[in-house]
Amino acid sequence: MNAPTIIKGVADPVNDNQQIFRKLLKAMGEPGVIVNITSPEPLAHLYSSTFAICQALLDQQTPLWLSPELSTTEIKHNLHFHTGMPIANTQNAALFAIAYPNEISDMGDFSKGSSEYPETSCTLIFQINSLAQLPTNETTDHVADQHAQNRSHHKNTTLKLSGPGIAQERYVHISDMTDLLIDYLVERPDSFPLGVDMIFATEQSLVCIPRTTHVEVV
Amino acid sequence: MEQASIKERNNTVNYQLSDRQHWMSVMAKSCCQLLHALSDALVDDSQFETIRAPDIGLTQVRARMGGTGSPFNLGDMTITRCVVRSAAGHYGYSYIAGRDKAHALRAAQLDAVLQTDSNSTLINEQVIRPLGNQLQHLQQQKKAETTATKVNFFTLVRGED
Repeated sequence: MNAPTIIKGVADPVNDNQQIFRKLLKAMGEPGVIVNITSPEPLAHLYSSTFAICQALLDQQTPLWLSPELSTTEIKHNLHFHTGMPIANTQNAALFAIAYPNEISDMGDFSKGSSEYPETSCTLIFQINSLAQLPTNETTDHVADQHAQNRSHHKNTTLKLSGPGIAQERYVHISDMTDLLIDYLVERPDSFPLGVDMIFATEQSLVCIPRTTHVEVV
Repeated sequence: MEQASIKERNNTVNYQLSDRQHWMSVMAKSCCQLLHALSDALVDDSQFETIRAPDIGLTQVRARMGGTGSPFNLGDMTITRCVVRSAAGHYGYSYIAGRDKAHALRAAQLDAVLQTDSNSTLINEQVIRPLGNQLQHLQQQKKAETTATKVNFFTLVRGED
């Protein structure tokens, strides 16, 4: 049989998808909070967490853009089978996008919504290797420490988040960040309410940085 | 592309496309109790993984007046769909009429088993054939009832000319 393998979806579609949705809502509403999300089976290149997000959020009306590395027949087939979503050929047409951070060369390619319909912007799902929330009370010493370590493997970044959904501030440690992404998050070139929302997912957990969050690199 | 992959798969499994269409159709329309009664002894639930758990949805049924007119929307009907994977690695699909999840699950399991399993002849004989016969019987009964009340209209004299 040369048809692509189809992997298992969530066991109880209605309840499980509602729970995944609720967790995503928490992560989006409280940026910097890490939640755990999994699906029964992972796929080559597509994390179990990403697959779970897709099952909860995607349907026939949400065009999805897949980065070159994720555009395999197997992934497309499985995502289409479980969600029915159409594939967007250009970044601009997509409501959701999945990519590794280093595959993005221009944030301007993604739809940032319009003033009338800011909700039509793209939600970017980045697959990364590791994620950690740092306790807020361990102040600069710890962060400075981390930062010193980070310079050696320069890809790791600690971000200080503040804004809606965050009491004072939260520190989150995200791997594989690129300069492009950091610049976008810090500069916020699209004026509110426009802009893209981001989900950073590891194999089994994720953190969200919506367009409202103020980001500083520590 | 779709055609090609079906053809290739036909070479590796021991069924014809039309056979599969037949058994899927029979299981989709038949009565759930009878399906379970006939197949309970032949199917082991633990041999299957659920790929897409049974879910209920709505589909629009279209029809042609007299079978030849232009299509119109007849109405909506509930269907339940399910996909399982057998231990041998075959995918069983089902789309059944109604909202019975157990029915959809069993139909999908049988679809997977019927594709290659050595039991397929046995299952065809013991499940699909009796189900098909019962279905045919019910259809004939219905047809007889309908024919008995059939009324033909004739126009004897037309108003103009």
